Amino acid sequence: MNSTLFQINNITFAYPKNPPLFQDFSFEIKQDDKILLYGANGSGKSTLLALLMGLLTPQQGNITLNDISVQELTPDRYNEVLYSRQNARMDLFGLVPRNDWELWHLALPDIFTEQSLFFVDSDLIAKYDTPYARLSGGELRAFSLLWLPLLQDRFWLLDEPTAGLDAKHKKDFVERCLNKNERGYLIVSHDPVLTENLFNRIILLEKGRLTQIK
Amino acid sequence: MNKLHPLSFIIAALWFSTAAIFVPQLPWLTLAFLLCAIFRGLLTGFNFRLWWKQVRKMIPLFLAILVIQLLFTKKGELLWGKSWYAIYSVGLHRGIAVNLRLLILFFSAQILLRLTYEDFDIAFNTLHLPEEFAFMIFYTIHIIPSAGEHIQHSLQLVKFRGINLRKLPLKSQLTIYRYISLSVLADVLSRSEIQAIALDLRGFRSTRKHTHLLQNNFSLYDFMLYLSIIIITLVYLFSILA
Repeated sequence: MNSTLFQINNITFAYPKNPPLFQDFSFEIKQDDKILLYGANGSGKSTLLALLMGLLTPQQGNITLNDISVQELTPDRYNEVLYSRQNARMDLFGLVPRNDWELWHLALPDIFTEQSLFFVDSDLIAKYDTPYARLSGGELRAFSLLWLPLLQDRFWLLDEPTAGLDAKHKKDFVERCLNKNERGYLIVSHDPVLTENLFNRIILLEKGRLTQIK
Repeated sequence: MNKLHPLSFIIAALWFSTAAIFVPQLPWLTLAFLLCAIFRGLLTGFNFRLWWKQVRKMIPLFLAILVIQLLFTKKGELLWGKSWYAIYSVGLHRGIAVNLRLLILFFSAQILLRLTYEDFDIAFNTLHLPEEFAFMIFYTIHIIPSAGEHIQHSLQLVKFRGINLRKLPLKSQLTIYRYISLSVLADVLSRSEIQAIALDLRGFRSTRKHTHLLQNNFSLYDFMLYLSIIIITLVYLFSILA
């Protein structure tokens, strides 16, 4: 099972009119890796995730997901990964949380059944039809992480997943990480609530270089 | 070119788009298109690969317009063919003219899209127009690109869930598009509300005389641009009146 999921091969990436953020950069992520990625603001953590998802294209080198270049991935290939951005609103589809669930239902009808809604805590279900514009940042984040228990078989790429969450939701999130046994995750975070025992690799990203701390 | 006053960009874009709408002569339209393309090139760089990427999506529209004009305008000199597939000079002229007009309008929009809210503020302040004008015009110009970005992002979300839209039944596709269009509309309304509140907080409706942090002076480039616009407009007017 612990085969390579993502492979970054000697990439160079720079935003227009800026010095390279990554130069001749290589990195391997295995299916079962549980990685914490941290580093100073602007060190390129979110950019790295965007590169892994094919949202950005490196000027040199290539990135593969299961040996297929991320630039050539068909939608069904994304079944293996769950990507959550720093801005939780950007993870949520449609106008209200119900639309987001409906999209998941279309993608995975056997998992996102009507019964799946019973798992949602009552505070959130009360706001199930509330427009995103009327939800707080913490509530948006809670909704964006709501379905993690049903998406155990995906590798999670989560960018600052605990930002804006209250203590209760942070605790729930940590439990979800502890209980994840199918595939791993890569979490970008500076939150001390995410303790060392949740990860088998802790990596510092600094000046386009990775330093393995654990 | 970037040294121009923001008002000059607006005037140039208005001049080009006015020419696109009101000038019927093909040589003059071609000249307007070339000038607009050069102006845009000086502004954004002559990156023809990027230009092609942007215009490529409009080619089916251009071809459709050309074919419709060729097939349905039966005036002027017969150039080729016979009966229903005959091509006449007026049809060809109109087909090319409409496409040139669209290209000029597209390039003019690209020029305006480079301007920030502060640029509009400076430009309208120069004309002593209220700040509401700058806000409304800036917001209107940016609605289509920002809605386009929102649609792209929503389609990306669909892809990241592992859904191939083309393989979905039509009913599900329509549901997805309905949600996307509603969220785009809600996003536009919500953002305009926030922007309007931000402007209110700056006290822009205060009746007292406003001060402006951002000031731009006209340069020699601006006067050269205005002089060129006036000369070309006069030459055009003389040519059609003569």
